[in-house]
Amino acid sequence: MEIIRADHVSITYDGIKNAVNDVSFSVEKGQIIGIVGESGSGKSTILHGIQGLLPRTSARKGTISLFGKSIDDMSAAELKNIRGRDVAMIFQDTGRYMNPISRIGKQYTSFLKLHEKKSHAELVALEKEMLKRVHLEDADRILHSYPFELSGGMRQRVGIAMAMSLRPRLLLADEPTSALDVTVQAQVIYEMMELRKKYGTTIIFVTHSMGVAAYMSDIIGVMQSGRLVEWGKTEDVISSPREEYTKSLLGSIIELRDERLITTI
Amino acid sequence: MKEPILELSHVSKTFYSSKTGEIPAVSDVDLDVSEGECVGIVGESGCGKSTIARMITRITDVTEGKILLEGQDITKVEERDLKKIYKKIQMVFQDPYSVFSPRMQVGTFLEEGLVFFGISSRSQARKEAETLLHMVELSPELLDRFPHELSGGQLQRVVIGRAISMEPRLIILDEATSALDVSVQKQVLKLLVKLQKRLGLTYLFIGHDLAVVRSISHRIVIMYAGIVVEEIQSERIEQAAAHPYTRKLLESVFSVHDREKKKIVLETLTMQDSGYERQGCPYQKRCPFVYDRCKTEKPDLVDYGNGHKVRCFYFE
Ligand SMILES: Nc1ncnc2c1ncn2[C@@H]1O[C@H](COP(=O)(O)OP(=O)(O)OP(=O)(O)O)[C@@H](O)[C@H]1O
Ligand SMILES: Nc1ncnc2c1ncn2[C@@H]1O[C@H](COP(=O)(O)OP(=O)(O)OP(=O)(O)O)[C@@H](O)[C@H]1O
Ligand SMILES: [Mg+2]
Ligand SMILES: [Mg+2]
Repeated sequence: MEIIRADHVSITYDGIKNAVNDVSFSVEKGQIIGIVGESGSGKSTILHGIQGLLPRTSARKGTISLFGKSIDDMSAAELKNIRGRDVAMIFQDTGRYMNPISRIGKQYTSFLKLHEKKSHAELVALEKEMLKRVHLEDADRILHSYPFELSGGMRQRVGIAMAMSLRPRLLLADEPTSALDVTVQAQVIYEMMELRKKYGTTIIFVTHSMGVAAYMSDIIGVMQSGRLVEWGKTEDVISSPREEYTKSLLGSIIELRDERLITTI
Repeated sequence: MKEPILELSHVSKTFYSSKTGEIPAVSDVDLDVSEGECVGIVGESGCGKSTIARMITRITDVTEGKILLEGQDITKVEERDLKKIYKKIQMVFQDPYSVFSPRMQVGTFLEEGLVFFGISSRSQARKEAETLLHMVELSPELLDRFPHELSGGQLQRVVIGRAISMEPRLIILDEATSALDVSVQKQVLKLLVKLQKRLGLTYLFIGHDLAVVRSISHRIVIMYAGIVVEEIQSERIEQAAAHPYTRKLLESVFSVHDREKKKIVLETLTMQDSGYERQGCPYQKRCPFVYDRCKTEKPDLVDYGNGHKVRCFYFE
């Protein structure tokens, strides 16, 4: 089943042309897609576009379909209903999407209440279990904290836990592990893979870590200046990239065995 | 050996939560950074790295301990004398949105700092700002944009540009390149190294990507649960790192060259009110080598020579 279809999608912002430039792709149920590419190339813009979450200053051409239906044919209520429930998003900067003056637990519960008819106690139990999965063992304290009382990576993990809580059919994740140390990152990746294994969740995630992209994805998409310049099976993109840009990305990875920059420059 | 430009001695920070009481975010940390050196800090999310950075820049007060900048204890500096410190230390925050006012354009953000610290005249500041953007691989078009009109990585580079422009002695970079693609990241890291060589800048580089931190640092400090568990020369980290947590970090790196899918070994999580043990070694619950002693006694950070220090009974 086709979960997402993008047909010649272009997105502009006020005065900024081609934030996304003629992008087409199709994603099947249960696939994991890793998007890598240039900073500023339109990766976050695409993810927001899929959800119908672009700011008013932007304009889109082309069609985006979710679960077989164009999002332009969905009513505002319909879109709102699938957002969070069927399509969950992990934002690049979770902190910006949280209310700074409301406790995490309160925000988490009111998000769940939008979609779940469960008792308060059941919701809190779900929250704790999800927090534990992203290695936030101190769940009581986390729920009782304001966003500023958590570290960057802790806030990011709260965002991940929230997005995974309702077992979405489609998970859109914008640099979900960029603020996490590698051991916690491994745990979060495991949980995301489990989501697909157990519930067939389709995942599109953006990352700057080529290692993570290679590990998680079935397909890798590469973006540069608004264009999707390469799209292919992970093994192919990693071991025999077609595009010069992909080659240069792969050539820029810094590895533990490399000569250090402080000695080579 | 050069004089340390920055010296932390027995620095601790405790936060309070009405729910769970004390949160020992940083406990008894000693750290020194010499002029022209880059020291990397890595560690678990939530282990106190940003808190250390915030204490050095006086955004957060220390609970205990001293922080010496060129011999002066900055924890005691009066509010009105802080401007002098800010000129010497610049910080690139983990969350770049937090330093921007949402209604301030990129150009104003860059020019304001230059003028405030008397680095350039108002008439020259625009030109300087353009040069700065160029240095961090950004187009001058961005000068007229507002922060929400920039991508994550663009914003991060604007903040790096501003920190460099203040002509500081010390720059603290908190996850400063985490939102950059590998190619731009490498350019920015090279720029930092060049500036360091040319101007003798000193860096404290907080990061999660071990390979990146190793590449740009002379020494690496590894933290867990608010304490320093290991300190090592960066070139030796892969071969010689000894603390079980550091080894675990090294094992958890995903590389494009791993042919076989690495099996993620999950750690048994313990459900308890406090995430960390208060008695004994803080790593005991996750450690594969625990002795009885680890459950009751806190190990010391032992110096094994060559700049290698480890806090672990197993290694002793
Ligand atoms: N609200 C906005 N208004 C105007 N321009 C915007 C807006 N959001 C993004 N842009 C611009 O659109 C382009 C694409 O931005 P986007 O955030 O999608 O990039 P990205 O690939 O996610 O980058 P990064 O890896 O740095 O997060 C960039 O040039 C950016 O400056
Ligand atoms: N203002 C605050 N009030 C209460 N607790 C706080 C506050 N700031 C930080 N903490 C707590 O202190 C601990 C250390 O946080 P810090 O931000 O220093 O971690 P970090 O090492 O930078 O983590 P990350 O890698 O996720 O950014 C965390 O448990 C956090 O919840
Ligand atoms: Mg982005
Ligand atoms: Mg931090």
